[in-house]
Amino acid sequence: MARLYAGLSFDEAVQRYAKTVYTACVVRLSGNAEVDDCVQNTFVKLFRKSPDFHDENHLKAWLLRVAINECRKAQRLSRRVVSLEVLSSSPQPQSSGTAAEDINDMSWALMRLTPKYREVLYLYYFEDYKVDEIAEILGSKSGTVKSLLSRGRQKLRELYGGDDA
Amino acid sequence: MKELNFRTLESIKVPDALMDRLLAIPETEGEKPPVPLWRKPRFIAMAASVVLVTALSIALFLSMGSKPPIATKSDSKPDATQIVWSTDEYGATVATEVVVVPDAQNDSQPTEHTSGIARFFETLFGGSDPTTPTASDGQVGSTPSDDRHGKTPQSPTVSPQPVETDPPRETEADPPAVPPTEEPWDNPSEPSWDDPTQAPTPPKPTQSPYQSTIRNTFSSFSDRYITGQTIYCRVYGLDGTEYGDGDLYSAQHIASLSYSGGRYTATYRPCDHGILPADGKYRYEFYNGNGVVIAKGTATLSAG
Repeated sequence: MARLYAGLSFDEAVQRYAKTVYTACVVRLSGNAEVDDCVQNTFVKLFRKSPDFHDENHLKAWLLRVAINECRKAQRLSRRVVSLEVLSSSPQPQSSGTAAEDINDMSWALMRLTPKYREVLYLYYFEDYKVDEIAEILGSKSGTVKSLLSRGRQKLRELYGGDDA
Repeated sequence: MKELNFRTLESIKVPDALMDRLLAIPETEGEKPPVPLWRKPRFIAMAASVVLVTALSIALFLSMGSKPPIATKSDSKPDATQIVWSTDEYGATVATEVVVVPDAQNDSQPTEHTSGIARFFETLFGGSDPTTPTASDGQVGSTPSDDRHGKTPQSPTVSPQPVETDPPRETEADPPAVPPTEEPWDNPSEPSWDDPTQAPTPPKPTQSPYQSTIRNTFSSFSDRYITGQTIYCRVYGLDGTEYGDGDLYSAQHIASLSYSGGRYTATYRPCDHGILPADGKYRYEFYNGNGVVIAKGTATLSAG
């Protein structure tokens, strides 16, 4: 009998949350080569441990927490510095959109922040998590998350020339 | 700030190759063979612990060898030394040291403890074990005193015994009726204690070191008090305490009398009469049936 993850089969869970996990790993690792390994390890843990999830939000939060931990572990083990080539290959503001959209696209600026700011800003602005939820996912305190958000915003402002977006 | 978008991030797509690998996880994980027991870290740690403990135990055992952790006292038993003091009637003190050497051929059993078989041989062959060199040499076996103290004869090549050369002891081996023939003080001209006209002679032992025997040799001057008489002996403590029967002429006080070389020698062994005072110095008196004291002095008695 196939195991279920918040009412989803493993294939359904992969198809529904692979992009979320992958994007989180890209943001955390700045798109280096270990993203794929971290994503794969995250779903391997899901398959092996198969914890009981209350709902899909619980499943998503669990996947993000595991993915971020995998990224941290990968960075700790590799101890490699993100090269300029990797940074240049990271997502760049697309020129196809309007100027206002390009200005408001924070992706490229986000990649120039340090990982600890990136993951907080990503979870807050892209995944729409609240501060308490981010603290639970990252395993840190709410005050720490708020501090990281505040400083991350300040750094984004500096990257954008001092204008408060 | 919330109005800002992450359009670029939204456009990120998961590579198809990665999606294929993710969807294949159940198959790869299910086909994964179980890890052998010997490759599990816990099993390796347990095996290493067992090997380590075993190696340490073997090393400890080998380092100890056959030595017991606590040395037994039988290996370090010192020679038993007994000093017997005796005083003659002139007050001179004579000390005789008797050394009992443990049996060198059997360290675990000191010679003071004679086995039942050894006592049987002593009784059967005159007090000596026929298997010992002493018996083959034809030497004198154990004396009655040896029997009483439970000592086995010693090999002369291993530990010469000073007891065997003790003249009084040789005398004791003879029957009481036979007078000693080689008394070192057997000199007719030797004055007696009751002959004040003659000078004192060198002290002579009045007690065998092993037998707690009171012995006195009388001069011819005392013959008139001895001839035809029964000689008695009484033992007193230095504080005047009397030992033995209160009757002066009780059989308990009868001393043995021997005659040799024209002289009488009276011998009295308190232990043979049931008088076994504690080890120490005592006074004694030899007297005849008329109550005439013919000799007196002090002697050190030892029951053991």
